[in-house]
Amino acid sequence: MNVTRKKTLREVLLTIPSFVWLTIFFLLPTIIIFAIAFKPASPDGQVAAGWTWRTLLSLKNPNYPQIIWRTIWLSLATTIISLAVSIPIAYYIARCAAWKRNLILFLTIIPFWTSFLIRIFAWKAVLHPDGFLKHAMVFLHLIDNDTLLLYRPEAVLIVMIYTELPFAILPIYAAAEKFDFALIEAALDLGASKIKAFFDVFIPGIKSGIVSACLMVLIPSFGSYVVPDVVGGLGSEMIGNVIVARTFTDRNLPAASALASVLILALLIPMLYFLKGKKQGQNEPKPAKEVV
Amino acid sequence: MTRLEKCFRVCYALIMAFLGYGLATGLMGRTFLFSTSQTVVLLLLLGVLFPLRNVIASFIDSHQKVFSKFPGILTWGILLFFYLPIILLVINSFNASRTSGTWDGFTFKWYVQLFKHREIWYALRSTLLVAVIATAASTVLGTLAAIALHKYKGYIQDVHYCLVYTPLIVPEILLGIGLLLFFVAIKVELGLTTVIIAHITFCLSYVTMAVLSRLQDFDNSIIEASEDLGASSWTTTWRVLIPVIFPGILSGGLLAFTLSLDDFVISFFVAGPGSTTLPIQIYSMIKRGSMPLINALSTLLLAITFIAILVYQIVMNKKNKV
Repeated sequence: MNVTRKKTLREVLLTIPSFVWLTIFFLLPTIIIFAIAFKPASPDGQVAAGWTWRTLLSLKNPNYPQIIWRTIWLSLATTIISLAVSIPIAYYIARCAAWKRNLILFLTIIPFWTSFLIRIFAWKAVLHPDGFLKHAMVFLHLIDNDTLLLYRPEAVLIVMIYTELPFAILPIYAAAEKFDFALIEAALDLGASKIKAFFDVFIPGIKSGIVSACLMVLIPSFGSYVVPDVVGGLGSEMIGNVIVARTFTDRNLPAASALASVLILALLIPMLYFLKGKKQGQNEPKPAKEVV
Repeated sequence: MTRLEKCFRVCYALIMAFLGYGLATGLMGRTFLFSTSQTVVLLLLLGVLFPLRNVIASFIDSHQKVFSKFPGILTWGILLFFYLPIILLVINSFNASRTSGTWDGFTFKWYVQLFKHREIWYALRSTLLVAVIATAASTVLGTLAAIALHKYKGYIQDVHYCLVYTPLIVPEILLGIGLLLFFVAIKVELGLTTVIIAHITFCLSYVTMAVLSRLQDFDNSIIEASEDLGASSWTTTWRVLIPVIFPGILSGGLLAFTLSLDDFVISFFVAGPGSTTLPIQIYSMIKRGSMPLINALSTLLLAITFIAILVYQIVMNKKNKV
């Protein structure tokens, strides 16, 4: 009796600090996002007392459908392009010589450790109206002098791919590393063409990596705020920008939390997929941040 | 033809009709879901490349020598794509011209101006303060959490695991606004304390994952051996468990430290007056548009990061050899 009680006591002591901390500073705030969506805003930028449905009506803003649509297509395009690029890269890394593999992995991991803001800012200089890319493209007659490279959705797309690509490459590589390449040789021996072997043997073999890369890119893309804010203009706002504008520019916290609730609900299914996959054991999708 | 194929064909025809309609309305100058150029790209991809996929596949197969180089070229091309903007930024930090398009000669003047910039040094001080406290606290909390998650199984630990794991996959903006609303609701003044609390919260999960992966790798029997040989659980923990998982704690702490130094989105939401961290300072400089100064600052930070990573790699390699 005493031994089991001691054991329970020890488990409780080990669990309580992080459990309580995360309950207070993660779970509770998430619940509060939903709760404040039903509160009226007070003119001084705080949340007023009482409950109301009125805040939810602010979601009927005529600009929102366009912004939500833009968020969806930018995130989907980022995800699809990142995956299409990462799969051949993962294949190459998994097959090349050890020193090359270490070098490429090292170069792919460095962006994780360098400042996110600086990497986005670097693109601002590249796409700047007076920058090198603009001069080169005008010189090649690809664009005329009045075309802006910055402040448009395409710029946001390129920079989003730039920031998210390492998150797609690493989980797919982690799966490709475990893939048995003898299977491809077997397929070739049995008469399959190289391309058929790639699509019908290699890609199904690294499915778990592809799924986790997909979610790893899609979820943060939906919530991205800095990229559209720095390289995008008025015509390339995403949901994240509207949440920030409601929070800081209008100081209407209930409206911001209503939008944030929409974002949580939209991402609930992919996030639950991650949690479910986690419990099922070995072949679970893993976030790239863990692979590093 | 199976039912699935039929269904697929109907969907395909519908999408093509929809895109064709979109192209027509776009050309007539009305708005459609996509812009005209996007519609053209989608029509080309779905309408031309997709039906011709077998032809393309056999073409690639008959020219295998050329196409087998494709993954390699793509990889090195993407690495160039990763580093070209950064290299340009470093070069531009020595450019006397204010704009990046022209080269007016080599200069250190932006670095000199940077050292005179008071606000940056204040911001650096608060960033380091936040990072040190957040790393220390989250390393302790995260290590305890990892040991608990590894040692015990059951309903409570499942919930505990979800709590630790979810912050890793939730977009940062939601963590930020949640904490802001929480601090507003309990009427806490925003400042350095709120930034530190926010940083501990997201660093905790990373540390736990790093330590947990180390715990899962190591052999549990040495713990049992230590207990069998009569060591108290206190001795076992401090003399066996902690030394074994120390590399995990170290890399978790290092990850927490860099993430805390780098974090912008969450800090932006919970920072108040007087708690400007370096990323927030850089962001406001990007917004205000003193580009050459940020070039210089970024180059310095990049240099520090590269040196830190190199040192870390060398130390780790040496340890692995021993």
